[in-house]
Amino acid sequence: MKKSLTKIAFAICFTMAGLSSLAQAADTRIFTDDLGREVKIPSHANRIASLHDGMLTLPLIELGVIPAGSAGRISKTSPPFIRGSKGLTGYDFDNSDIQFLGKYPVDLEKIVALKPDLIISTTTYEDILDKLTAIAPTIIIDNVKNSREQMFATLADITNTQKTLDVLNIRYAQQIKDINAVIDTKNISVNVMQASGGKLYVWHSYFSLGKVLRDAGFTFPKLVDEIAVGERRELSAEKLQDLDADYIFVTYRTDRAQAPQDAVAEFEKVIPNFCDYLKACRENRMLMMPREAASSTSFTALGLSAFTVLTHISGNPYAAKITQ
Amino acid sequence: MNSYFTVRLLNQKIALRLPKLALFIFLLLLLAIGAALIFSLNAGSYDLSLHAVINILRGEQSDEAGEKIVWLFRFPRSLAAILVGMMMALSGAALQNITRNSLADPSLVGISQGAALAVVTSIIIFPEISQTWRPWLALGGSLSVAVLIQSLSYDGKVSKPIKFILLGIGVSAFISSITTAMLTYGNIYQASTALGWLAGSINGANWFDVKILSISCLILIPFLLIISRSMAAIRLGEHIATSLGTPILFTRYALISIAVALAAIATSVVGPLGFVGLIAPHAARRLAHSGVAVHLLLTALIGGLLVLIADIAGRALFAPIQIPAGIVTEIIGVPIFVYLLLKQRAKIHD
Repeated sequence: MKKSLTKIAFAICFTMAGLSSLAQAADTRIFTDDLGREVKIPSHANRIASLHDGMLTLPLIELGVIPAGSAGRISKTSPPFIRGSKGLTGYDFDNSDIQFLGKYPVDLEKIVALKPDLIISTTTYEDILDKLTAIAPTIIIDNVKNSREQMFATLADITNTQKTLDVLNIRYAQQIKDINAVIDTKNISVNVMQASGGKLYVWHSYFSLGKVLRDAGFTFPKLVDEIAVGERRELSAEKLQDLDADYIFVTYRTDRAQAPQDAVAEFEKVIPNFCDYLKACRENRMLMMPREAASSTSFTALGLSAFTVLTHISGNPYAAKITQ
Repeated sequence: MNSYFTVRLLNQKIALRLPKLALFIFLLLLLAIGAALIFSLNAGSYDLSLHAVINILRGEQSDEAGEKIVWLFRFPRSLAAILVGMMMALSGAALQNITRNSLADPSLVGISQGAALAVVTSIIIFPEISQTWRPWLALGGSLSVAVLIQSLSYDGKVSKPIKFILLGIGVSAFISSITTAMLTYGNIYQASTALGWLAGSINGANWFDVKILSISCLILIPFLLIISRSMAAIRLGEHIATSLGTPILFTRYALISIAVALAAIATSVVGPLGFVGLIAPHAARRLAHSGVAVHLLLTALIGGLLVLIADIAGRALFAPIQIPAGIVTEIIGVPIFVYLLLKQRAKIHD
């Protein structure tokens, strides 16, 4: 009798151990990152260290995953912050449990102290991958090669939040539909410009705002269409008139406490009285937007950009005139 | 009082006259490096007591995180900082000797610029190249530019220092402009990665890097010491050195080769580190008058100490914000350099 009881006890122990290891195996899965590395990652990571605020942390928060720690930014006037996050998601270092891991380069010791179960990084940290993998499984996402949609899709895959991403995509598609319902975008030209340090910059598509404008079907100046997808070009003031459009968008940095006047002042450095050379500016169709809303890797930023486009162009007598 | 020690070895085949003050400073610098190394192992944003660090070093039981911090991060980067500092400093000393120009440093012969061009090109133009190749690319870039400058300055018989310096400045400026153009027009994220490397950080140093740096030091520094007597003769000018029987051409090429190799290998591991090669030889000269060999040893220790302190300050002072050692060496180095120059001027006026 005693022997049988011992056998049963052993059997229970083995079964428990077997089930436990099965559960453990089910708790991890293999993920192939952008370097082609097969990484064993937790199926449901609880403590993620995100090594880029704008490209990784912001999308993670929008997907409903609050990282345990994140790289961030510093400024003279404020404590460390996640660029654009407070305005777009409400989360930042000072009002959440997200730990500040430093700006570039991040503090490796701080990451160790965080005890992460997963590290997500851009290719910026490829050269210290050996150190990161010694801390926790590390996934590298190529933020240059991948579009922002692909970045979101990859992050959703890693964090099992595809359903949340689907909802966000549906919302964005509706926002584009709303624009197309009231604006004849094909007959309206737009452009997004930026002046900095006496130089003029234009992009093929200016991040979130550019995506909204392209997805909605607006036309762009020829010079802008000639820029490769995903690239920007520095142009001289001589080209200013070639960049004119029916509507021009200009952004200013709120993280540096800038105001629209600062963006205008930068254009004045490129060429004094720049407004005289741009019909859109002369006729009051140059629109100002906070750069975080126009450029962040964020569905909220896409929504804000879409709303700005919708409310400023639809119903405008000029837009009605040129589309008649 | 006799201010020299005389050392006679191998039945007087080797006889050295060593200045006491220089030896005293040598020992002080060794102690300072030892103290800084201990401090470095103990400093950082992860809280570890000195007792815990000692336990970890002795292999006694400790928390896993603490072991990672000491063995994977703090120890290799501290040793790498010392070795890189020594190599950059000696490279500067060798170049100052060969050019007889006290403002010569590794950037003069295009080492930093060559490394920068190769690495920035790989990041911005060929992003598909794995960044694990970065040290080799930097090494290749450094050596290529140094060889180019050297071959351009060679006119068939001799390589004139002034021609070497002017060509170095010209080629370096040309290469820098290409690098700047790539940083200006390249993808913004790739450009910021490249700028991070250009700032010179010891953040990524690992035990493999320490091994490479140690082997390089073990091979190159003894060579430099062996030719130190010829270096002393060259200090007096080519004609006097020739009359003393110094093989000028051999010494010049040997010195340039060693200087380039030292700086190129150091740069390949941590990126460009400014001012170390310029300041350390000056500081060694101001601290104690000595022969070339002892001066080289003092220079190496000052360089090692300077970069180690820069690394500690950069990673611990404002943690978790990490300031690359290259920036800190310039912040520390420039005031020291100005102080030394002012002190020298005051002495002249006295």
